[in-house]
Amino acid sequence: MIHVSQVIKYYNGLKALENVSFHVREGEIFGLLGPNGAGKTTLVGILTTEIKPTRGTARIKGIDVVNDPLAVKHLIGVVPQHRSLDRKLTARENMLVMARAYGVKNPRSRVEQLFSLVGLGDRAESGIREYSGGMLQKLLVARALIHDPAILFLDEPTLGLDPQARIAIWEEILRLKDEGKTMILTTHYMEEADRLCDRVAIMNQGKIVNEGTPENLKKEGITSSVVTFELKEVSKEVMDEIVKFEEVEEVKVIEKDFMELHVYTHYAKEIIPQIMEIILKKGLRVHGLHSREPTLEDVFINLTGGRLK
Amino acid sequence: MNPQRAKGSFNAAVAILRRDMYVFCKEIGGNLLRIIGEPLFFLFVFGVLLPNLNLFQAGYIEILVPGIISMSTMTGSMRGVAAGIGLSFEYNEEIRAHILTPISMRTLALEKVICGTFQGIVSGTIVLALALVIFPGKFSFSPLFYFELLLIFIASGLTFASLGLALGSSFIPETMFEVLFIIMMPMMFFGATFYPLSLLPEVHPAFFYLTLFIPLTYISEGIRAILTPQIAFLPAIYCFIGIGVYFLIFFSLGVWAFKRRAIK
Repeated sequence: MIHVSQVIKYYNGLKALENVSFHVREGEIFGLLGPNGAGKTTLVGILTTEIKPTRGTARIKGIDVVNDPLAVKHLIGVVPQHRSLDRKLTARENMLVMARAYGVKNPRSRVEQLFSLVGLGDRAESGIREYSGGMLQKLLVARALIHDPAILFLDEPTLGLDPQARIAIWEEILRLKDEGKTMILTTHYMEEADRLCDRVAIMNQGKIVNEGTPENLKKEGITSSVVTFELKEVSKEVMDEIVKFEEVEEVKVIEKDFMELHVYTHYAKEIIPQIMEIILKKGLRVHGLHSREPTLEDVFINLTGGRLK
Repeated sequence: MNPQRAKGSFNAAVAILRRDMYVFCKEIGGNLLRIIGEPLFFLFVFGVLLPNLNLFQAGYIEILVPGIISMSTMTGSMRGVAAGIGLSFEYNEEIRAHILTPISMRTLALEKVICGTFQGIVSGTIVLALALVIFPGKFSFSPLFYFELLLIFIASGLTFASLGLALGSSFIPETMFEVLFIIMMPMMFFGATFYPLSLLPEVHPAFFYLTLFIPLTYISEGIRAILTPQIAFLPAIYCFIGIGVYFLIFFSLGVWAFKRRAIK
């Protein structure tokens, strides 16, 4: 459905994308996960014909995005990061302009249909300025669907939304997946990628550093569980003793409200009492203890050495 | 371009033009003030007040009115497009949604120019109507005159809206006031607006040649050729050729700048 091959993009001599290649299958949600500045929006911009690549090719349903942008625009719908809704028009007028621009037959009925689909029917006559963040995002989704495109690009669709609005958008995205839409979703929320995406490409500094299903990425990246001990302080002696256990793969200390001692192991149940004994012997107090499966964030930290912010 | 794509691009342009016209009509009060405020003051001071104080010779109104009309077609078309494009790229961002529709960037640029041209025509027509009311009997019209005036309003609108497109796509809104000032001031005062070109060659030959490089000169003289042929210097056909050359230059520049801004 979407093929990106060896795409490079320079902005004023600075490399924004470096040899990016991937493909997206029909009907799947493909996530581009990475911190701000990773190159996600640039990549989406190239696929939506708003940005020209310096080198490389990108094809949507076999159509080159540079050579035939008008044909591509008919195939895709875009929920952009920029809030490009027309503030001089009401929500309904915004939708009607787009419906006419895409040559939709019976634009008024299509607009009504989409308003009821995203639950904004009672606010259709309101001005854009009166909309909340969540409502604006829903309207952008409805606008992207105006010509019933086969492919949707969602660029940080839940950025800045409260949890309730975020869940509403997630539900909408999953409903669109059930309808058979192919989607490319950019996000820097791990949970979002984990919950929505069939496959994820992790981006950092303009490159794809790994790609796969969230489950496989977690398995490939870190095969163990993560046991976290929350302590007031951690001494080198304690860490040295913990590392000596054969069952322990790696130990990391992350400074938060407490010092968090992250122990990566396949044998959490067996190792926890022994580590507790070492900590208590050194006279340290444990303020919290929990064990969890690895997340995409652990995978990201493992791949890039940094956190997703 | 493939005919199907061309049709899609045309449909999108019509939809966006319809939107732009709707917004223009919705904000008609502010738009009229912007369009006719300045020419109205010029008409009043130079056309009514100063002649009544006997500071200007009789017959100055016939020289002044074509100049003020030409100026209003320029400001009406250029300012609206330059400010609209600049603000839309920088703040409102609705133009980003238009760029995503199945429209070619050249067609979208042309749509903005057509919208600006419309504003220039409205502006010129209103100032013409005001001049006819304020100075009754000074100008006589035939239906052919109206047709010729419409042609020259269209030519002026297309040219200066194209210049507005180039400026709006090249400068940020924060500097737009200064840019418009630098471009418009020489145009307003050296574009044969307040004096007829016919008097210059003998009095200020150097200034005469400078005036020939100002695009507004061809509009002012073109309108004079229609309204007051006795004081016009350039025949209407020369005016159309002159403004046509400027249109080609400004439109090419405008489309280039717009494409560069729209597609990174």
